[in-house]
Amino acid sequence: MKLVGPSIRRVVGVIALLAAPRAAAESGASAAQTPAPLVANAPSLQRFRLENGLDVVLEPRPRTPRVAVVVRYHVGTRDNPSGYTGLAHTLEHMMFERTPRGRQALIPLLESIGATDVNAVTTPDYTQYVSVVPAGQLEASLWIEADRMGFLLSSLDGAQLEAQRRVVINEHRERFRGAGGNFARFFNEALFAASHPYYALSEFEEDLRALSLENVRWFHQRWYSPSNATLVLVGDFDVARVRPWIQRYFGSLASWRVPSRPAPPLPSAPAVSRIEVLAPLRSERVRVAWLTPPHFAPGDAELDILAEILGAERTGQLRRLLVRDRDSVTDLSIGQASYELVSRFEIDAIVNEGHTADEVLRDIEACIETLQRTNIDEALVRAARERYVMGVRADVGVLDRATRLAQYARADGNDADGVERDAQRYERVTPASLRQIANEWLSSRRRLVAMGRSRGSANRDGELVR
Amino acid sequence: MSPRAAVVLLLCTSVSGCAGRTRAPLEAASTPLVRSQREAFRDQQPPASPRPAWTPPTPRRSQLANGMPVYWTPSAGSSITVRYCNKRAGEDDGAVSAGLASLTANLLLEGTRTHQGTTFQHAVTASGAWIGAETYREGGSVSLTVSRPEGLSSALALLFEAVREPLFAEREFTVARTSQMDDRAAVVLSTRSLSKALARHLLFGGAHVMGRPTTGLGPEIRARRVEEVREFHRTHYLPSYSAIVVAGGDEATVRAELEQTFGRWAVEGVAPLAPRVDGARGERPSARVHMIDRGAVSQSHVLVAWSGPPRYDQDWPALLALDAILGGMFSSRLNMALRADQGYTYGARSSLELSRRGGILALSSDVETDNTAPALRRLLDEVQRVRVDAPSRDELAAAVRSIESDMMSSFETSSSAAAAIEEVFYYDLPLDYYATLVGALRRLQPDAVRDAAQRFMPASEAIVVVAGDRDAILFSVGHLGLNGLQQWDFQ
Repeated sequence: MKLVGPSIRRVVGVIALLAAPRAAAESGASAAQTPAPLVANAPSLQRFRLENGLDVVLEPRPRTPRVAVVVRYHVGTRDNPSGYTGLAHTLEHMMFERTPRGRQALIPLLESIGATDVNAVTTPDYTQYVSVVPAGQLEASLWIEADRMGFLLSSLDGAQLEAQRRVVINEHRERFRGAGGNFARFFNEALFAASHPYYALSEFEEDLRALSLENVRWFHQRWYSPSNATLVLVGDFDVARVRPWIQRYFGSLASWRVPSRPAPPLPSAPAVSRIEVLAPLRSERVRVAWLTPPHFAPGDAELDILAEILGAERTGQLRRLLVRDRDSVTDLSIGQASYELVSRFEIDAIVNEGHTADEVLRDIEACIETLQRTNIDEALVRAARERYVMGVRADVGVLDRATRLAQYARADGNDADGVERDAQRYERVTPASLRQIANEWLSSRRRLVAMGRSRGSANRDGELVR
Repeated sequence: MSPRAAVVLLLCTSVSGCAGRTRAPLEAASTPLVRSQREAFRDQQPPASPRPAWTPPTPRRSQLANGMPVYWTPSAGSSITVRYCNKRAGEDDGAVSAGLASLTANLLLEGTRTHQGTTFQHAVTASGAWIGAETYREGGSVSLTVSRPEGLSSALALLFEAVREPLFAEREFTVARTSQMDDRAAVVLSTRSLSKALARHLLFGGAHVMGRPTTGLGPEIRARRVEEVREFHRTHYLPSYSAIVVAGGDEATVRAELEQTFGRWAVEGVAPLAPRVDGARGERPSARVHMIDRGAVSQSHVLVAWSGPPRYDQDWPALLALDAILGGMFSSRLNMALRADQGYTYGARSSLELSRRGGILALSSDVETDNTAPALRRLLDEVQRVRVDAPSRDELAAAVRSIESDMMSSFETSSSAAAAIEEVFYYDLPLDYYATLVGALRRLQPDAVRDAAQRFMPASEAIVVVAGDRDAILFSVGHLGLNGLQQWDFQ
């Protein structure tokens, strides 16, 4: 459905267990913080921490007899050691294998108790497992999740790894095929230096083929501690009944201190400032990205609002200029893709016949210069702000709500759900703050330009040139 | 040097540090494999807690002063969704001039006579609402979700404006037409979309409404004029073809607001539309397998399709269960066979795309090029198996639970509930349709699923589309003994 609301954040580098993840596509939370003591803005929401460090968020919501169960581990593809791309993702797949006491592999087991939407996603910052279970099977679901968290590792074997390796390779081929997939990969690898944790957008098949069972176990033993996880339940349950279950099944699982995650300094410039990709494309393409502040950091909200003002369906200023007035672009997306270490403000345009990528780039540059020179009209800012805040506070289903709460799990602040805190940072945006942020972050020094050129003679997978 | 090697080399010279990507051995981990002492309670799966069976809500139906039906259903949460629904504004009504319905719907929100340009959208936002338009084969809808009740009155007035007096400015029309042409062109670029489009064409023929793209063909879209959109709106957007679906809010309050807007809507002097025309159905192709060459790709798209019955056919519950058992869940047969057992693919799935006029049932997967023929063979074997053996009671129960859970998710928010109730209007279903469907699913017998497979997926009627590296797969697929192979070129 085409709702007029906040532009959906572009999420780059998300890989999932199944082909069509329904949720969990939000960007990651900010750097790890000590969770706040239990305080609840939403009256029914509770947050607490077990002695072993497992962070728990509970929100009873008895609309239909279902409960969304989300387990987020605060580890992602950025934690893959050099030469081990695909390790976090392969472990995510292995986490659905059979546990020592399980009758069958995890997904059939969950589906046998009526779970739906069973899926997982690996992002640069976190790995998240989701399901929706019948309310009457919540205890069984917690039993299964705790079994997976505490005991799966001892039963993994080489045959399971071989099977999942093949599935992951097939998934990778599906996601990154053709010139479009390679364009995204080239772009990411030009944005970050090879030493940066976000460098590898996709996996290298040679890395995947070299992974061993010991590597997978190592990753799990290093990062999959209860103290590095957040459990979120949203749906039809009684908190007084569920808390003892959580204590029973998760409380005795051994925990340890996970390594501190290296946070390199915020890059001041991309690794490369410009690339061109030649391919036998029907249309030329321009993608421009600026390295911007991390998720929830000052400036992140302003850049979300700027993206809304420039790119929203029907009202976006740059959209109207390029698509409606100039007719130079057929498809345009603008967004602030927020991550824990560094975000990116990105404009991606497919060029219309009869126009050139250079011409579109000039218009984009002129638009950004205007933002830096003058304040945006207050009415436009107010409308974008209202749309964005409505989106943050929007009523959503149990699974979307649970993944949203998981997103706030590591964010700073003292309220339990984070939604209000998130809404407030957008409400504070003003024309002056937008101009200041545009000057601070959208400079040409922080920018990467990628031009997709149409060349009939080029390799159909795309050829990268400087 | 091969082109592929050239790409890698260029990448390494253009991005600093590529050559330094090293792979050092990982140090030994010090944490245990098993995370707790033996605890007896972990050995036994907890039993289910008894819960009352869920029943989907039954909407209430009433009429506005001008005869327009209103369906209202309660919804938890503070938001209210109001959907304007029109039975004659769907894609099938663009059959004579394909693509017109969606073009018209897209333009409804691009400004009205009172709120021109972006002022319409800003006014919607100011009333605390979101608005969107969409078309299906059966109808066209405009959906309004109000985040706070005090914004309902002004937001409803804007919804009514969009439906009754859209501006259809020439410039916005041109932009929408370009976008539609681009969508059409994208079908050829997407292997999955192209395969589905070919299957649709083969099953129904280009003259039948189900065999044609709902966007229209490129030359048809290019020739479209704004006057046609205005005329389509004048003759199709009438109260007599319309209904309002509401989820959430206080029923009496919303009804009163609707009377002030849609209840006063009267149109005179417009002749009633003739019944829809499906067009002649084409002859079935003699070949069973149809191959599209996509060059040197590492995966093939495999699609097996049948023409399906009308949506909500009497065997609809069995068909839903069949869909879930074959490809609607992770542990569905196709996914277990092609992904879990054989590792040919990342996933295999089934889909039902059915309207009142029928549609297609499809099974599909992206599989390794080298294993295209065995994957197709295995997929067809699974179809044969479901035609012969009824599923176990456990398998059927899992499928029914999955369908029921999906249905529950449709009633979790006001916007999803309104979209579900809308079907009651479009398909003339009884008000207690969802409650009845849940009951029918719970009573479903395994034999009914096997019978549905025999009825809806006969071997002789299947069309197979394989899109991939023709040079690599033609021989092996051609030798599967599937009654003829035809090659297609869409370059």
